[in-house]
Amino acid sequence: MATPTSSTVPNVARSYDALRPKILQRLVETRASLDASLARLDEQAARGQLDAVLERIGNFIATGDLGLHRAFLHTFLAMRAAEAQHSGAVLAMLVAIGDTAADVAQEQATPDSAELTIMLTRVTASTARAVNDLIAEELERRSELLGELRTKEQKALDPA
Amino acid sequence: MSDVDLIEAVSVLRDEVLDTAEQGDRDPPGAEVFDAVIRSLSIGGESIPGLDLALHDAVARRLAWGDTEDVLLADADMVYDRLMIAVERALRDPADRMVVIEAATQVALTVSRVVSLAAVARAARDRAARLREEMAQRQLKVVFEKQRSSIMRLELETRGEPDTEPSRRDSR
Amino acid sequence: MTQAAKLSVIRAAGETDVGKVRTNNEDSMIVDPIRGLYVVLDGMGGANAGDVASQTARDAIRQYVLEHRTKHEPKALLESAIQHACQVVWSSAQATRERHGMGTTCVGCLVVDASHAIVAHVGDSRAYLLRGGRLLALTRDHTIVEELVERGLLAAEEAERHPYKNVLSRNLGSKPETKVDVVEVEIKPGDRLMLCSDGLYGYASAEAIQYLLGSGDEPQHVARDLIDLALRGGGGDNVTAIVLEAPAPAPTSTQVVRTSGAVAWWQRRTRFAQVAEERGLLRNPICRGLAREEALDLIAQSLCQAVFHDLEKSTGVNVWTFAQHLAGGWFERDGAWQPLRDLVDVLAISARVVVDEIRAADARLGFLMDIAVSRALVVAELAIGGLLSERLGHVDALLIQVHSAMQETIDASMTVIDEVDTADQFIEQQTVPFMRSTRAPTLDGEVSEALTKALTVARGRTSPRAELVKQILVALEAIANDDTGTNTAAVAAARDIYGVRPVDDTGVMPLFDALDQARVISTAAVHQITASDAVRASVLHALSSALQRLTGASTALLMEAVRPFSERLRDALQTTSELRDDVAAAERKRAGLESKFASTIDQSQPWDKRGTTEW
Repeated sequence: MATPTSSTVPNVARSYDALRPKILQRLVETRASLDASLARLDEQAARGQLDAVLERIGNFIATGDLGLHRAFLHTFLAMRAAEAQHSGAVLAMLVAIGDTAADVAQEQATPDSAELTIMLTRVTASTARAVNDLIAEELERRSELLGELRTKEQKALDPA
Repeated sequence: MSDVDLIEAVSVLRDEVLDTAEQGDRDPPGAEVFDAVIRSLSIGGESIPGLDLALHDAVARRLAWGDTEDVLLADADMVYDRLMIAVERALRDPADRMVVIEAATQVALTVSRVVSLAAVARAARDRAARLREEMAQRQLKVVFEKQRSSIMRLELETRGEPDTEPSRRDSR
Repeated sequence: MTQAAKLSVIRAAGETDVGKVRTNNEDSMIVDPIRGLYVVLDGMGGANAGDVASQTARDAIRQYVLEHRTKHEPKALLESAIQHACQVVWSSAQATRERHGMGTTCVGCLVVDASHAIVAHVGDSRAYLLRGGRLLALTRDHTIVEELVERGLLAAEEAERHPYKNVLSRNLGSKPETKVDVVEVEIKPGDRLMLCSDGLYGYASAEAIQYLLGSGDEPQHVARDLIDLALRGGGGDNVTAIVLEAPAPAPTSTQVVRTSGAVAWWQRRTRFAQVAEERGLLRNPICRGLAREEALDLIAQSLCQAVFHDLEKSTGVNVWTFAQHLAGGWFERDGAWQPLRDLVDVLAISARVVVDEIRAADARLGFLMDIAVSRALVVAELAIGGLLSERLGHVDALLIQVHSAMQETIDASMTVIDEVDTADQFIEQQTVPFMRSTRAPTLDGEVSEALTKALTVARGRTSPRAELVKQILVALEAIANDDTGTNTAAVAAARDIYGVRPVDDTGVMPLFDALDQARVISTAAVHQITASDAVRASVLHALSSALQRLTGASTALLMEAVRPFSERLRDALQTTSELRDDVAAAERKRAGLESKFASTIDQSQPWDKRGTTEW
């Protein structure tokens, strides 16, 4: 385990944390364009959901640990699926959140903004890639289940 | 009585049958049934797609707004009952009464059919929805297991570390 | 049909298509650049009344705007025009029996000037604004589900799975007046507005629409592309789209640099292909069967071109299209996921190598290219994700189909009416849940005799094969003569008639068909017996009442058969809800631990080398 130094978090992660309230505000204001289900929520509920995603993006920026990030995305997808949201729509929402964060970063005229913008666009790309891998895994699981059911059905129709 | 006069004679019973005074500005329950009877009288009892479609639409809208099938059937039964009573009183000519009874009987049966088909469709949807829920539950269970194991590992990794607030990554 | 319009300020074009399934186009539209009036209408109603409704409303709106445009300010003008159309459609529906119940949706845009427009709508035809590459809905559907959510009577998440989520709460024509929602829109340079019927958004994803609308192509091409997109998605409904475009803004310095980036990118296309080949592009199963030059051209060069064009026009449509074709073609050949993932990763790595080389030559250009390439990769993943999601939906539908077929046998056994429980419960209560206490007409001797005669005639005219109809006719006599003041006879007869049947259309329809046939035959028989009109009227009343009670009792049995389905669903929903709570609680805990863990990370490692722990 690494020994904590006097600055254990890279500048870009601290820049992100500092910018996070602005990013959140922009997301809340434009939530109708992010996803239809967000548009239906009241501001407080939307703010809570969006902030949870931003927090996890922040952790990913700080840790660079794709495994952890992927685990969060897996949970996020499963929870949205339980609310009857299509995985394609969830992917689009996560991308829209990442894009908006990158836009806000790019608008800042600070020394860190360029690096942060690049980091956020790369994080969004990693997120999209991971989500597609998760969807593909779920697709494979369900296709296998379909195969099993079809075999059972066939046996029931033709026991011989 | 001519067809037109008969339709008019039945139409004026609307307030009584639907108890519109009690309902105020709201659409009275069972209005779709009474209106269907009037439509049936207007087309001389022939069955045309428009009758069923309009009734289908009205039933779908009431179900969409949250009325149960039982409520719809109860309203239809009430309208039928009240219409029979009103017609016995208001139409002296038995030939006229017969025309209205035939139309009301046809409409009542159609309403039961439409509501029954809606109930059956709901059963199919409920069955499909239950399967979707079971698939979602599988996904959640897989995720839950992974969460538990990752929590265990994170607890191990961070044992001895002071608690930090999730949103603050201050330098130490 | 294409109506291209050139305006001095706002350019617009509209397209409409009957779709792949319908035989009649009940959509209509107005594209009137001179008056700045654009409207999409989607008609509904049986027997061709839908197109009458939409065309009637279209003509009424156009005429009203023509006559009143100098008398009203724009917002009032558009709203009044739509209200007027509602009145006209309603009057037309009342005047003609075949048009009863017809109606139409409507979404209209009145352009005031280069920077203002009014959007008004009734129903579920929509208006969108595309700004900065992001699609924003300007309208909210007037469906019953949306109204329930707005009133707090339905949770937002339940709206997604509501069975009646497409049932309209408002349209033009079902009532003489309606409520029109109006919004004023500020138009900025580069904005695009789109009006469409549900035939578009019902068959195309929002992301695909966003990318097509933002393609930079002429409005007439974009309108046609949107129609084609809906047709490729199934085309199950009429589809109409009108695209309006505000003048483009003056090029910014970023755009000038972006164009330089596009050139720099294009100059390195050979390098890109070289790196892709080194990274194993040609060994990927997707390239199997292709010659080297062919594979490099079809995949590497095509992506290069797509990125180049998207950079030039600040859009994502070309990469989107490339990724869709690549993945779509592979999935159609039943290709597995991993080769596609590997191929996309090879292309991504190759793109990053090229960007690093550009950055080495020009830092600022390299910065922009880094962002642009990341975004291009995201667009590709979005396109692929859309296809994956579609396939997942398809597999789910098959799962439900197969599972339902297997469950039917189990469920069928549960629909056998328990003679001890269900029917006796009714008999004991002497009521059917939704039926009022019996008020059967009292039959005197003459009427009773006439009723027996009529039913004898009816039975005689019934086909020997129509067993169920005969059973019903016998039951009607018993029910009509039941003077117990209860529904006992009706329930007993219903139980016999209902028997064992599947809880689906094939089970229910024959039952009601038989009841209807019995109605028709018995009514005809009443008119044939020798009796006074008064007696015949009494007989008809008695038979009608008996049929009403028999139908009610049969329907009640069906409702009992259906009840377990909703109870089991309710149980499943409860289980899901509990699981979600557990997962949410665990996720909160993990988030906290993750943050704590983040503070222990070894920062000497490069960001993308800190491991990919499979948690």
